[in-house]
Amino acid sequence: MSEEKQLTKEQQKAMARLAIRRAVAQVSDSLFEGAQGLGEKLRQANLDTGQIRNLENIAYSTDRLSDIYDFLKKQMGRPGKLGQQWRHQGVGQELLDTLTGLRKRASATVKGVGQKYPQGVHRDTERQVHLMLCREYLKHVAAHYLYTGAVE
Amino acid sequence: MSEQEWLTEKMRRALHHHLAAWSDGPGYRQACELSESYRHLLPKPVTASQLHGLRNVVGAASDPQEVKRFTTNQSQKAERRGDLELRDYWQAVGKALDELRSEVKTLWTAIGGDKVSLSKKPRQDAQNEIQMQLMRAFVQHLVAHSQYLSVK
Repeated sequence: MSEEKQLTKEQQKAMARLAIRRAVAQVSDSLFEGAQGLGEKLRQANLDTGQIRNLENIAYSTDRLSDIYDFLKKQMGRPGKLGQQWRHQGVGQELLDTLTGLRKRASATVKGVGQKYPQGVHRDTERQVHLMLCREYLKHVAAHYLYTGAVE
Repeated sequence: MSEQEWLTEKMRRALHHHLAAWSDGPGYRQACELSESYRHLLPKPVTASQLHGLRNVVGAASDPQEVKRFTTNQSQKAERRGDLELRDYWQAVGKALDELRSEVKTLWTAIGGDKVSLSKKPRQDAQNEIQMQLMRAFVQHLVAHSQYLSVK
């Protein structure tokens, strides 16, 4: 039996948490470049800083991915200028697709951790890791959005 | 009896967690599917103000029956106007919200509600409160997805 599997359930949970944190940091770094592109597109769409702050605030205050998706859908579905800005060159849709697509990265992350610490993950871990990745991605997007605004 | 009174801290955490998982999983999927299956009725005759009306009722109601009355009333109004597609839409929304009752039973068992000694009335009230939370999440997804489809 491997050394990891001899750990107690509590020890496995603790080790899994650390492993997830490390893995999320790695994935976050790999998302950086793509998020920069999207940050620029949001700037080109002339979206107000408040919109990006709202999105970030939702991501950091909720424990539901669907709250983030719903926010984006509602903004894209708005009539008038704001809706047009969110739909500008499909930027809102691209953001939504990217966030939902992070599920695969979350799944791979949890699978890897689960193989090492089977008792350290549960059936909701994937959803929770997905939320962490969405927050990371949005953090990069917002940072780049603000940065491009400042250097223009 | 309010939710606060019958829930132990452990049950409250479990309920919060299960509601989030349901909202991101089956709840989100079902609401989007319902919205998609009536997308030809968006943005008219299923208008944004009707959907916001539903959201307000679900947000303010304390009993699932109040929501039931609203959807029934909407479908009857549509029928009187001869708009049978709109009638069918409101009937479908009412049915979807009714069917959340079976999810309440699953959640109730999952959080250990069966182990709590409660007489019939407080048990029913507690389960109604859970159903209201499911309804709010479902309607949030339904409204967001419908708004999103309205401009696609």
